[in-house]
Amino acid sequence: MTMMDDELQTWERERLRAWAQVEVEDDFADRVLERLQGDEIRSQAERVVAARHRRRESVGFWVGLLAAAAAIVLALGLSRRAEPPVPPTDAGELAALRADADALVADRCAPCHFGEAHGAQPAALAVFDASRPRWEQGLSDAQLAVAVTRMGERSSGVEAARFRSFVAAELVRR
Amino acid sequence: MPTVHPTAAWPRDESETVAAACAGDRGAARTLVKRYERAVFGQLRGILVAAGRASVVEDLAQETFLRAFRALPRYTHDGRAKFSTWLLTIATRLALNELRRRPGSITTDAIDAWPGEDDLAEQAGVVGKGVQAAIESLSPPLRAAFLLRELHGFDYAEVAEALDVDLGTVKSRLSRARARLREVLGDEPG
Repeated sequence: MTMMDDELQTWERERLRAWAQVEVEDDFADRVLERLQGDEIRSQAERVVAARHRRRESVGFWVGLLAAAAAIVLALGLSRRAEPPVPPTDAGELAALRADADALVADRCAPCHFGEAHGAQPAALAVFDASRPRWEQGLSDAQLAVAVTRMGERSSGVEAARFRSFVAAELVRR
Repeated sequence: MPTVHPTAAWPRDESETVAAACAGDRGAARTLVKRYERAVFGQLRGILVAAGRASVVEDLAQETFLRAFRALPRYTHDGRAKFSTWLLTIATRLALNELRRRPGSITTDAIDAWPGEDDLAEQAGVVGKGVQAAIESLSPPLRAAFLLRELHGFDYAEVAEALDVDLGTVKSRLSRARARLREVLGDEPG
C-alpha cells in the first residue's frame, strides 16, 4: 500500500469528524479570561513581593557588609591588643611597672602565692612566692604566659595591660 | 455614505489578533479562545476520554490557552507555526503529560461521557462508539498523532515536531492507527 493509499478516505474522515464533534460551554472563554486576569494580578503581586524581597536583600547585604567590616575592625583591634606590648626601656617606667605588678600580684594572687600570708598554699608557693623580690624570675616563659592569662581574668583592662607590659619587659630581659 | 459592515466574527487578520492579544487586548484574547476552543477540546477529549480521564479535559483546555497567552510574546517573535498548530501542540503535550503522570483506565463511563453522543441517531451512535473503540485501542502517542493529522490537518513534519519524534515514527504510527480505524469501520457504506 502506498502512502497515498494509506490516507483516510473522505467518508472515513467524515466519520471521524462526526465522532469528534464537541460542544463547548458558552462561558468557557470567560473562565479562561478570568484565570488569565487572575494570573496577571498574581504575577503583578509576585513582582511587587519580589521587588520588596530584593530591597530587603539589598538592605540585608549592606547591613551584613557593615557587620562584617565591623567584625574585621574589631578582630584587628583585638589582635593588636593580643600582640605582646612593646616593653618600655625607660628605667623609671620599668620601675613603675614592677611596682604595679608587685601590688597586683600581692592583691590578686595572695594568699596562695604569698609565703608571708596566712593561708599560703605550698603547691602555689612551689610555682612562685610573690613575697620574694624578683618573684617573676623563678617562672618559665610558659608560666609567665599563664600568669598573664590569670591576671587578665582577675583585673581591669588597664591593670591587665600594665601586667602584660611588665611580663614583656621580663621576657626581653631574658 | 460608506457601507458599514456588522462586526465580523474575525475582524482582523490572525497575526493582528495574536499581536493584539499579546499586547493585553482582552477582546483579541477572547476571539482566539472562541476560534479555537472546539479544536482544543476535540484534541484533549480525543486523547483523554479514551483513557477514562474526561474529568480533566476542561482544566487542561483552560491550561492550554493560559500557557499559550503567557508564551504569546515568544510565539509572535518566532512566528514559524500557525497559531492553531502551536495551540494544538500545547494541548497535545499537556494531555500526554497528564497521562504519563496518571495513566488512565478505560471505562464505559468514558465512552458515555462523550458529549453529544446521546443526541446522535442510533446508527450514528453505533458508528461513533465504533470510532471510539478504535481510538481507545490506540496508545496515547498513537492516538495523539492520529488526531493531529486526521482531525486537525497537521502535516507529517508538524506532527513530528508536536510529539518530538522523527518523521518515520509519525508515518508508522499513522499507518497503524488508520489500519485500526478501518478494521472498525469496515467498507464504505453503499
